[in-house]
Amino acid sequence: MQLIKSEHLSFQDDKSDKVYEVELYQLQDDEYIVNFRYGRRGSRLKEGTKTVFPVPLNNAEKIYSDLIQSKLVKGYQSSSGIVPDDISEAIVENASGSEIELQILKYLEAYANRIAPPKKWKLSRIIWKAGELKIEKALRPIAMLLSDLEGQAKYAAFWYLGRLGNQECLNILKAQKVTKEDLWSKIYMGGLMHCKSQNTLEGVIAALPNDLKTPFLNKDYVGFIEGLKSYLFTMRPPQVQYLLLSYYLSIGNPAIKNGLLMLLSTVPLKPNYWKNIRYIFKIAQMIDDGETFGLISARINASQAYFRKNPWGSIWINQTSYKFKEEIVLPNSKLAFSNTTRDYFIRRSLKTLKKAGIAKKEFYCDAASSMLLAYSENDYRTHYPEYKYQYNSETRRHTRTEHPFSKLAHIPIVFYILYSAGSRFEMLGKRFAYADGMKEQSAREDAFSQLWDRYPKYAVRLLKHGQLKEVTDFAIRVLENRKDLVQLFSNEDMLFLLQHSFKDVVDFSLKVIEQKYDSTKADVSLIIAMITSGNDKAIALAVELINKNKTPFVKDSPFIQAAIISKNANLHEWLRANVTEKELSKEENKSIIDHAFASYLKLEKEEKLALSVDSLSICFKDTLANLDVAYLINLFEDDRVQLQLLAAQMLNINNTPVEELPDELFLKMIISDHEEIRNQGMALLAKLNDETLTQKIKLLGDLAIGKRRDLRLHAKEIIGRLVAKDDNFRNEIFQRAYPVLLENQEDEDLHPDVYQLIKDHLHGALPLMLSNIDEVIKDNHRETHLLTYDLLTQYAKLENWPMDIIAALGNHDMLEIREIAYNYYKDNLARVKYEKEEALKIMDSHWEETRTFGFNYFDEHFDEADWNPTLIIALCDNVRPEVQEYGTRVLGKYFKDEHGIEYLDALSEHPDPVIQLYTTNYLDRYAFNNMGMLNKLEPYFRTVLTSINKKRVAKYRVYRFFQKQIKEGETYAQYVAKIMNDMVVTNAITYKEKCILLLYDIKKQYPHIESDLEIVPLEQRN
Amino acid sequence: MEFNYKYKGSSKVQNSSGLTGMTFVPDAKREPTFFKGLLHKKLPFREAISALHHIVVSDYRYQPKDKTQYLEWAKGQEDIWWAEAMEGAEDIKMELKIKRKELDQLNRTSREIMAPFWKARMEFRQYAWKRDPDLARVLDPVISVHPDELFFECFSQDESSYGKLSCNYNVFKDLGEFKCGTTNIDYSVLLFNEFQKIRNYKETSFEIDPSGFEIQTTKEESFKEVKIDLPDSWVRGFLQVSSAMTMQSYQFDLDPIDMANILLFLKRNKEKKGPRSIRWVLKKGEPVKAIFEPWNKVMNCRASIYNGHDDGEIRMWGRRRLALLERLLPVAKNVKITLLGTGLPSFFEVDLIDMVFTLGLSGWTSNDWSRSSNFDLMTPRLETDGITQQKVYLALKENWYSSAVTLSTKLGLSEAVIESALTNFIQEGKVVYDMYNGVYRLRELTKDPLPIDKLRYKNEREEEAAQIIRAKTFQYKSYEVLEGAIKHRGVVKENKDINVEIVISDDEKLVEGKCDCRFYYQNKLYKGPCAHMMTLRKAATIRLEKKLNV
Repeated sequence: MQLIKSEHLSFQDDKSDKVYEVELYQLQDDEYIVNFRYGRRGSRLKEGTKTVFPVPLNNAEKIYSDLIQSKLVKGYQSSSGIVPDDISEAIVENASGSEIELQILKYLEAYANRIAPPKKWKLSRIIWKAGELKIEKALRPIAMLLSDLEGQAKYAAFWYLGRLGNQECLNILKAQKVTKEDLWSKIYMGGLMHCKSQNTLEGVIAALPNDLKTPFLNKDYVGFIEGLKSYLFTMRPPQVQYLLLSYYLSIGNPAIKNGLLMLLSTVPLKPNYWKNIRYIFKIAQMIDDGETFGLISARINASQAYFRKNPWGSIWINQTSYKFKEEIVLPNSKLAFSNTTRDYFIRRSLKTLKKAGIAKKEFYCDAASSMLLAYSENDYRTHYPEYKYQYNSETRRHTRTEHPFSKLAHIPIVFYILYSAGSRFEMLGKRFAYADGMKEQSAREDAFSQLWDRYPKYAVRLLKHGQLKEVTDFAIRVLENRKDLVQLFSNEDMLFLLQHSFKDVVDFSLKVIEQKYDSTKADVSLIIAMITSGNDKAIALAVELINKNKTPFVKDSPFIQAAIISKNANLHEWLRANVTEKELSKEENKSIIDHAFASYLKLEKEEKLALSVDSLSICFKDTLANLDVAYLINLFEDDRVQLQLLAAQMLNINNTPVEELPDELFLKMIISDHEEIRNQGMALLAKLNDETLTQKIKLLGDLAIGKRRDLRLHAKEIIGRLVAKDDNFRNEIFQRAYPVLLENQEDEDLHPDVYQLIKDHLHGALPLMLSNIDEVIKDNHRETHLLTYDLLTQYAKLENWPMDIIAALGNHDMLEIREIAYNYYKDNLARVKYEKEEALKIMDSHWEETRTFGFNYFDEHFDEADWNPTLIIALCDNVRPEVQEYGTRVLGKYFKDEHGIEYLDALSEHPDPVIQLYTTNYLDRYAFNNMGMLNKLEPYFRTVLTSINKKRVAKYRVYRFFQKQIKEGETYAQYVAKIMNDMVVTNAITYKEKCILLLYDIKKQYPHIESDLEIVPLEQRN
Repeated sequence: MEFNYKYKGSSKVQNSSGLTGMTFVPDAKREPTFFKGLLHKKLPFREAISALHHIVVSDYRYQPKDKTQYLEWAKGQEDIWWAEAMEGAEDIKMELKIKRKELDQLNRTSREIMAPFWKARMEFRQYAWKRDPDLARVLDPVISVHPDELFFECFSQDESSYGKLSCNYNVFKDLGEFKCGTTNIDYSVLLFNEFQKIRNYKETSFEIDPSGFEIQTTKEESFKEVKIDLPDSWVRGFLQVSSAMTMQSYQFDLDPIDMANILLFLKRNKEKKGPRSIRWVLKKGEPVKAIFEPWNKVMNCRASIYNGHDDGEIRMWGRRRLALLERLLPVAKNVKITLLGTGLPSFFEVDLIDMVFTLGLSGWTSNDWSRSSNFDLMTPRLETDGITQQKVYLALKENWYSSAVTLSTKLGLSEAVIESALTNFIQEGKVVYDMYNGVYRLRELTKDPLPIDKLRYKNEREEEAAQIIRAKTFQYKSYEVLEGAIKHRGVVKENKDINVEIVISDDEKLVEGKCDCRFYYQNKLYKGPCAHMMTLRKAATIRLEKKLNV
């Protein structure tokens, strides 16, 4: 057992620390096994196997890698650094007053001057509001108050300072003493970062672990995010605190922010994680980070609560019961994100959004677009319609109204952003439904539409990254009538939009392109993007645009490369009309073809490429003619039909002489299931000259006996033409063709076709069948019979045939052939007599007339001198009763005393009851008093005597024989007693009696002979 | 299940006055296995291989009489009877008589005219039947070459009899080169006739032809592919019988003449009503007693004394299958009988000196639902893990055969573990238990692994029943003796109690049943008993056996 490879995997989390080892061994040449070991690290590992029985290498490799993958998916880490094949990551794109002011300032001044405010308005709320409205003038009173503030008011003050985020705020913040335990510590830190405090930044960096710190300092932000990801998701327990730290770092660092948003879109809303997410949410709100804010609230809207509060105060989660009031306040609480928390955050985000909208702030668009982009079709849910009944007292009837729900009905925030200004949808409880039927509407129905118009870049963002039709439709509606449309989109945007999966978006982008495109400055990359988009409209537009100025395109090889593999007929028409290989350099031609072939190799099984191949062969004929033949032959091996066809077409236009192509290639093409490939194959074949064809014996032979009738007939024609010139060719073809006749064929036409071929063109080769005549004459197909007859009558010299074959002809199914055998026997008596042992086999026929012929023939022509014991015994040994009977008749007729013992010996071994009975005739004469013979006959006697309920006469004769024999001496009596002792236990009364009598006689004559019989004197009764 | 074989040519027996040459063609798709030797014990071998042939072609299932011709006749006759019933007036009677006479005459002429056609048609059908061996296809026997012996195995068409002929190498002389392994051999019914020509005075060569493997790649066209589609039940039957061999059992020797007496009795008496069983009564130190039902004829096997440990009484059905042994009796030295229990498989090992012929019989000739309670024959008895199984398999493969004790000392595992691993292999068709020598032999029944999960149970209900028994949620309640039958009651404790009731006839046939389950309410007994009835039946059988032992 040789170790081929092994893999060590390990898994660690707060509960477990285990390892898993997989090993692949070789046993023998192609016998492999896959074993595994697993268990706690350091303990004795348990063993197991995936292959109880050895398997070939391929299977073993698959089992091996599948096993490793299955473990990696479960979270195991590989020592050699293998990673799971697909970690599915949902990639979420980066999203991103005056009277009251006076009032606030007034109140704050009052508080600062220790005068109680006239109205009962909590100080914390006042400060908060000041922050919300970003009232800079409030800074002074708040700074004055700061040292006295506590609790919520202090929290609000920090929120205000952090939100303002200017140098002055930074100075104030720096002067504060805040400890980690303070409620406001996170807000405080966020504020400092917002104020761009260098010290804080350094502090945050210092708090990072080394493997995050290094990439951050090296500005390797991708590496930083990767590292963070493993801290969050792979590590057990997850180090969630780095999420918040990273958010601090992301303030003012778009690279980190983008990565972080990606992570936030997948972070689960559950204990540990949630705490940090809610801090981030609040800081994002504070610093007007709409993107982060929007993403988190979208997640909250679409997620379920981690647990539901209930009246009885405790809850079961993961098989543990928690009293949630007590648990939730613990530092390492196992509970978080309850239904009430969720509701609160949904309310809060909606409220914030509304306020921003009312205040006409850009934050609204930023957050709203971020929310909308966070949803995809995965969030669709089927909602069954609700019916409402209303009683009309006038008509005295109930009227029913149906309310079908939108697929996003469970996310009310979508309703608020997209539809709340229209009348199409309405809220029904916590879901939104169509108000009256599901009618499409083209008018704007979004809340705060003027905001979207003011900041069109958010609509562009929605259009580009929207994953929902509702969202892109909305974006199009916002953008479609704008006059500055062309300026809103860069060229990169256009390329991006062309790839969009929604048709409407692509159509829209085409509209933009049409307005934007300048034909004097041909933008090849845009045109390429259009033709590779696969969208017919885009391509049509592209062709239109190209036609305005063709020159730059005709010579542009990247464009031609892209166009030639397109599936659009218009484009190909253009290519065929405008592109020639002369315009391009040799290398360019070659590279276009290479590129096209490379793209063909990636095709799916069903994809068509006729268009492309046709254009290629029209535009690049000369270059194609020089393609490497070996490559094409290899290409033909592919199991995709289109590629086979491609190879066939290319071979047909190739410069290489057809004669050099291998036979197998022709055959494969010609017998293909695909008609076009067959046609190509036949076209290739037609190019061959007769001389070459003559050498393609195997190919023609295979065609002549192939599956397709049309090809068979075609091949027959060619063979007919060639066969006259070359006998060798004829013989070879015949050798291939006639075995087909010996086998059953599913195709009913195959036998007649092959027969006709042989009959018409290959008849002269019939003697070749002689080498296999054994099989041929045993075959029972009609066509073989006819050929055998022809062979026998026209070509065969029976005198050269072995006698047993001639005898076997007598068993042939065709009467004419049997008659040939009869006639041969009649005409060649001398040979029959000379080879009589073989000749006798004619009687083995299953045809009664042949047997009768045999009986008569041998009766007539064989006399005493011709028969000998071997022959006669052979006849008797035959399994056919008629022949056995004939054998015994001949035996009787030509019996000679000197052979008696020989006959008895041979016949006694016969398994047939008739012959066994016949054998009894010889007992008295040749076994009597012959101890040697008797010993030989013991199995025979036992066979006869133990046979059950049959051979009565034979049994009687044997018993009579024994009766006679025991009188002849003690040895004989002993011999009989031995058999009788076994037989006497029989239940057949007749024979039991005979056995007892025999044993009794023996006992009387030779009392000392061992016998199972005990003679008990008759009981005397009084 | 479809079995695919590939043979190079056909198996042949060539006969001349001085020589018989048997050449078997092995399956070229399997690992090369070959053998060559001259037969030494010719006649016993002839009888044994003939007996094996009888098993291959045997079908003891009940064939209902073909009544179509009678029904056709009765249909025509109906009109006449109607007419007869209607006839009233004297003149009509007369007219009828004349017409009937005319009709008879016409019929006679028609028969005369048609007779040659019918005769020819019948002859042609017989001819066509004879010429097409595919029509009478059976699974080709499996042949295994082992270092110490050569054995053939086969299973009957009626899915009830298993045959194995093992020959040690004393049966041959001039042994040629051989390679151990298992293969299928091309076999046709015509070969049987050729076997009959084996004689002591002719040299007989026996060969499993290795040439099929040598030229496998070059001349593909000379191979014939054989596809045999066998019912799953057939394969399951085969595996069930072989897996039964390792179970606890009663064993005793029977003198061939006693066996002949049994066959004699069965041949001379034909029962019209059940029960059709043999009741074996075993008492230590006394002759084995066989009681034939329904006559309750007692037969004392005087030449055979029972020497086993436990006394017992076991009923066996499908007794006419014993006739398969008839040809062996003149050459047999002893018949060793192994009975597993009432309604369970039984084994008859005939000692032919240097050859052992094993006939394995399933519980009943027809394994239909009304009788079987041995669905658990194919369930794993003890769980063993894959690595142990692998070890055992590789160790067995080294020597081809080995006893559990040897393997246990070799691998340092307990015997129970080894045995359960081996039992699993038997159920998968990879190993066969050699009862005579008490060793396990490696024998892969098929080239590809059998779909054992599909074969383990006949249907989902059997599986469910096995689960109920394992989960021990079943409780046997009571029984009641009726006329010619016993009624058993039980309850399955699931979500709610399911009461179940079955009536088992004296012939161990399930004749009536009732259950609270859904399956019963939907199908009654038309689709067979429900899982709960099967469970009850099994429980009743176990109870009865325990009682008898006490």
